[in-house]
Amino acid sequence: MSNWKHLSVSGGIIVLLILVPLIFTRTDILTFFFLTLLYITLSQSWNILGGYTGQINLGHAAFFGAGALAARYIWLHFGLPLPLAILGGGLAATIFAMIIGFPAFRLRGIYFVIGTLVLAEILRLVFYTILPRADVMPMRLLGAYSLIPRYYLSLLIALLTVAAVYWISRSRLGLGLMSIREDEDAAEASGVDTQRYKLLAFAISTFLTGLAGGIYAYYSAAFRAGGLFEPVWTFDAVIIVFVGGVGTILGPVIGSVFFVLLKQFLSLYLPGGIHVAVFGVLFIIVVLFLPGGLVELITRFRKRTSGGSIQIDS
Amino acid sequence: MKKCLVILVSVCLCSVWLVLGLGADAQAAPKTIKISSVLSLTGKMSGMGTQIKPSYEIFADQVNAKGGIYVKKYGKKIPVELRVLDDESDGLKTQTQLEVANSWGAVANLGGLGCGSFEMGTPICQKNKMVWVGPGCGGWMPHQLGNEWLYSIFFKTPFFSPLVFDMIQAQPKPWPNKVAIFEINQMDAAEAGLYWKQAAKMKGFKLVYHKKYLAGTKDFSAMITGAKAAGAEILLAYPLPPMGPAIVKQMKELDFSPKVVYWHRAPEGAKFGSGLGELADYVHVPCAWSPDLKLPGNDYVIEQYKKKTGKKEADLIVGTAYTAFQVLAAAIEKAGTLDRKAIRDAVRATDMETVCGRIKFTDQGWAKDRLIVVLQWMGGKTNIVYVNEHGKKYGDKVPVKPLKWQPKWSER
Repeated sequence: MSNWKHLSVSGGIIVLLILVPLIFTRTDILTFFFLTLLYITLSQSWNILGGYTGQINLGHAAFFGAGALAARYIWLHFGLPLPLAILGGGLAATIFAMIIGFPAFRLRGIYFVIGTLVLAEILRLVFYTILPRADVMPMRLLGAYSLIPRYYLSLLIALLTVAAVYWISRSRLGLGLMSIREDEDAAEASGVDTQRYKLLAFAISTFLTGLAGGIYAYYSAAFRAGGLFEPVWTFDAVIIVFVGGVGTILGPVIGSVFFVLLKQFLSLYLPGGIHVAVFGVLFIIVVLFLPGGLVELITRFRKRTSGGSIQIDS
Repeated sequence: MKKCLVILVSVCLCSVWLVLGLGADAQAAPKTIKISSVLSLTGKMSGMGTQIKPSYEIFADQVNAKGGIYVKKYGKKIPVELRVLDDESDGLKTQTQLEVANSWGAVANLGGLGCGSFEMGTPICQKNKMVWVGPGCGGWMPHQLGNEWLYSIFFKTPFFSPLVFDMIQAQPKPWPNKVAIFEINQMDAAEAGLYWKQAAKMKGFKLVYHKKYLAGTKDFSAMITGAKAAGAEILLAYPLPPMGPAIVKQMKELDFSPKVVYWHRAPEGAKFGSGLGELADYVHVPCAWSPDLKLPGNDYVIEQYKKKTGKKEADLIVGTAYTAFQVLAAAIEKAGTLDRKAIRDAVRATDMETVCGRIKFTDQGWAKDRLIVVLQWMGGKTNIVYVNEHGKKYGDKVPVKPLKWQPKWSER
């Protein structure tokens, strides 16, 4: 597809997304769109570290939770403007990531995976203990609550995240990250400052995750602080990336739509928690038969219809 | 000219008739009154949701058998359409399911029971301006936030927490005196812990052990041995339904047998008595309803519940759930319209006798001056062993049996 076609298709989709609140007034449909955009940010930010750099971070929830809590406190408890609060959420997650990043990146492979998982679990337990009560939005705000500004904000940040990943994938930084993913020792031997690159990827990833947390803090009428650090925030992002297409720009976007749609649809129409099992089976099928995710399926389809060779957009 | 005028007036009249006609058409009676119910049918609170669902359905069937609820605005009875949505015992899911209910066009929501869904779900009802009526939870805090759309049938922690000490002091002496509290890290349990401590001090009981624990805890042995070592004779706790049986079994293994085991929540679960069998004996639970209450309408509810579920006994939340629907249906009829705000206002003004006794709400949306009974598990069923001052006015309709102190495990 030519650049012009790419631009016009992307522009068309963005225009349609801008029109969504004007077309749909039902709160469940707007919530669906909101959650899809939130998951795009969450999964795309995981993709920077997990997909492009090859560092499997199972502590993504820690940064999401840190961002959400910081944003909520800055916004509601300290009374600062919302944009500052969301930015504060992103910064809080990044600062936290930098503090733990130096020791964490001394760990490699499975040790890094376990280290990050344990970090989120510790925070979950700590916050369930020290903040057991739900943080409920004040009634004056609930009385005037509207999903529309929340939707547009999530759209803006999702677009920012996709743009950031697009830029990374085509930059020198992206090349460095991908070289680390392929072979860290070889990358180091070739002159890539792997520690610095990994930290940079971690910083960008966690900043965007913190922004996702910030939007969630703005969206959520009530949450329990410990719930922000639940493993589901990590594993949802990981599943989306793998189902969509790991290490691709389009993968997390397609994965998020597929994930939210299926999860909502199945949970509504399959009673008794069966939807969780169905989703698990579908995930296994995708991973077994489509290791490149849904993006690979699209590519295969396009190859077959065009008869030519099309490369996966990575 | 005259002809033109006649035509003009005719056109105007036709337009007015059309507009009014269309208007009337827009106000035509809906086929059903849509009522949602977001419940925990799966997950850790499913032991509550699976009791509530059939109770709501019994009421809906009963009302629909009579043609529905009379709505004055439409001048006729309209059948109820109940849509039950599972929140999987997850507060976040409660929120999304309430959004589904809102978009579906529910005029009100019948709530479930449990801290998570209560704390997390009820702000969504405030946001969507849709009244929430349900058994609720003991937590007082959600009522302190100014939520005008929340109405809970249950009593609240500051008012029911002293009940355990009143119950003990109503028994012949000697009374057990040393208190242990196992406090789960949840809002209602934290509140109960605070008020238990205050009431114990005020009524001359001695707190000898107090330990907090996380919602996912499975091993209670450290707490049990701690309470046992402190010589606790009264054990107060607020466990989640799956944890209740685990604590009882571990107490047996560690031979800890306080004279009074007084718990909220877990012993109300559908599987507590049947799952534990004789091990459940002597456990106390305060409830807003009991199958032993002789109040009008209870026989019908119990009979229908047994028929619907195939159970030999009615579970302990059945009456409370049925009452929530009684209150809502009465409010819809009183409002005379399906406007959400009018229904909310009518719920707020509720003052009626139900299968649970008299229901009247405070300005904060919790049922005040409630009949509360303390039940004791014995031989696979529960007995009423204590009734609060508001319940005493019902006399023989609340049959109270003698309370039995828990003996040592070796003597059972």
